[in-house]
Amino acid sequence: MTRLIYGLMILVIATAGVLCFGPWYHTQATLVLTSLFKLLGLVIASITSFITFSRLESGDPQRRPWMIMAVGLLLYAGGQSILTIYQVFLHVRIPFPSVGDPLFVISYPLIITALFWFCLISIRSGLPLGKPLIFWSPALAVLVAFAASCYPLLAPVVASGDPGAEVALNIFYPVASFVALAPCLVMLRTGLKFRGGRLLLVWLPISLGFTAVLVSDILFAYMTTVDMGWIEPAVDFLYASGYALIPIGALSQAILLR
Amino acid sequence: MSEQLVDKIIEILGPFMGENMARASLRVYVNEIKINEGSFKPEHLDMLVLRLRTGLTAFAGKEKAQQLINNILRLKHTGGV
Repeated sequence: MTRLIYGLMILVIATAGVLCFGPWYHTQATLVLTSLFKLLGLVIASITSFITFSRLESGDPQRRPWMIMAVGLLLYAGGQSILTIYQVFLHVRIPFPSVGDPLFVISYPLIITALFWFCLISIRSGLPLGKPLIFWSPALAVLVAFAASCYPLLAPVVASGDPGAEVALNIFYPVASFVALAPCLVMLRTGLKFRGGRLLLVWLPISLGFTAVLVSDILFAYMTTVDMGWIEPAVDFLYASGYALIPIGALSQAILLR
Repeated sequence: MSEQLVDKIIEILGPFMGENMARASLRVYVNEIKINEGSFKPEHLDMLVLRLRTGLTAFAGKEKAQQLINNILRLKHTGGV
């Protein structure tokens, strides 16, 4: 099982790399494949999170956060499906803001809540995961990074003169991504503590996947305000591999509870 | 005897939480129940699983945690061998 999970992780990262860094990047075929690849990843992540929720008994600490995560991912998948419709079926440039944005906006607080909840469960588990300051140190590092990058990241957005909704979303996404990145890196550190165990196969892909998506969210926000189109393949790669890694972690957790 | 028992518990917990975490957890819990690591015996297993249960349930749910705990408690009957 361990080999299968690692194999799957390598396969999805390699597939995302081939789609985003090959000479075929930006062709219609790749656009369609990347779009469907992302959507499929999110749908599977949501389904497997629901399965995990259903396999946990009432009163199990992780039951509610898995439910919240499943709903958050479902809404996120809903947002992504709107983008897919624009890209794959309508063949038009995705408008910004689009109908998908309200779904994305609602999904963020849910995913953030679930991730913080997982952190709280971990620190209260009694397992030797480090003193509180050490345990939360990745979150503190994100806080410092946010403080340092807040102005260069958000000032161009505010000064862009874009319509209000566009500016609001371009502020919301990177800020929400930074907030989500904090518990995500805490869970990455926690997951690495389980090296050699099945729990690593749950928390490594989930936290790496979310980290990739959230970092690309931040880069995307910066890319849209500053002329940085050259990083677009890297951003797409991070999105695609992130969306594909999250379901692998959720699937590992569902299998673990079987 | 005690070392053998610890190794058996690690054999049970290792595939789930990794050998390092299993060993570190055992060390912490054995200290908590104020037993010298060297004198850890099968009769101490009940006290150990009381502490282990919270950690296991947090990450794997009650049912899976109970499976692992049952496997550990079986060591009482084999004397940890």
